[in-house]
Amino acid sequence: MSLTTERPTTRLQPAKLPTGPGTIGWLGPVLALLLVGVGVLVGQDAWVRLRGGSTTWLGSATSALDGLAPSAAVAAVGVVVALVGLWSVVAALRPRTRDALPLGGTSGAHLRTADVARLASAAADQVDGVLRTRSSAGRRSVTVDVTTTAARGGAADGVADRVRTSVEHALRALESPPRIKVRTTASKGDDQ
Amino acid sequence: MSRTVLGLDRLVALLLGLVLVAAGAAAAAWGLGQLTRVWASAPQSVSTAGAGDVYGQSWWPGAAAAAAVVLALLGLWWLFAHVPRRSTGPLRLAGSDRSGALAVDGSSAASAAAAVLAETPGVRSASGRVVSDRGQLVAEIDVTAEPDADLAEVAAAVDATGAQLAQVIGRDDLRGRVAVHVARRQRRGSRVH
Repeated sequence: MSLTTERPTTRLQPAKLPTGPGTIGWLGPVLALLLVGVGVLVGQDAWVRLRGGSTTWLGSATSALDGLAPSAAVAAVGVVVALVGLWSVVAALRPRTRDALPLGGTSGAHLRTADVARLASAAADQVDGVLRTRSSAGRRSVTVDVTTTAARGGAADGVADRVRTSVEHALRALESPPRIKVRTTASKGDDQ
Repeated sequence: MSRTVLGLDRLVALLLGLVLVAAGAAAAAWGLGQLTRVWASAPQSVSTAGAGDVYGQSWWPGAAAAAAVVLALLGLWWLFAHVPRRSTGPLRLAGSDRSGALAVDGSSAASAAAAVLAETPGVRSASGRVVSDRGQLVAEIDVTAEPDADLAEVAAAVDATGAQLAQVIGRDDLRGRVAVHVARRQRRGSRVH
């Protein structure tokens, strides 16, 4: 099958932006495994008792709890259990993570924030006076940390402005270009 | 992963969490000797004699075996339900009737579109497929771009190729999702100075 270069009259409608599952994405399978584990625990008990035995994992765990009296250790375990429960409730209620930024256009193209940070770094790297770059991006803003050859002051400010312009240019095709923050650090040896 | 499974994950995590919060708070209060404030007859120590009696009943091993099978099967079903099943067969086209069906292999078309996109300057590679995602028929294309790619040029190429793909497949319900990944490092020799 080949695609022609004729000017098409239809447009590809964009799909929903992808979202990440967040914590529940791995907590769900872990809970499923735990359920299998409970099945194995009960199954081992049944298997041993059906064969006439009496020492089982479930029985041993129950016996270990027998006679337990209130103590600070019990309270500490209770606090930990309650905190794990609280975390589980938060994970269950937290919405899916969103880290995709749509590209301008109609075909549903998007970049993830990590890719936006790489583009920003590459754009900053091309600016004269920049030695090293490190960027981090969210959906609303990009922070570019650059190490410059220029000492602090007017020259470094000039580099920061050029970096900002270069990054703005690189990200202009995003539907809502993020805010750009540039932080400059003078390279050791040039910092006086 | 279907919405049903995700909903089940959230529901179980929520219920288990609430049970753990209640049990943990009760254990903490009991450990500090404060549980009697809300439950006057709280026991002075844990007694598992009741459980021991149950284990000794003649019906227990059989009931435990049945419960074990049910729990393990449920757990395995739940676990494997997380594996995504998103593939689609040939897509039926408008004009199909009793005399014959018109169909197109959506993934082949999306693959061809990806190959066209891969020719765009600044694009290193691209791959495509058609999947069923959250109730939508979606042409998914993954594009890997060079770090110094011109995003506007890539966006224009994506639009043009997407429109061609929509025309080739010819289904109104087709949606597009193009993930533009940016390579970690510039490929040697790809940059023009």
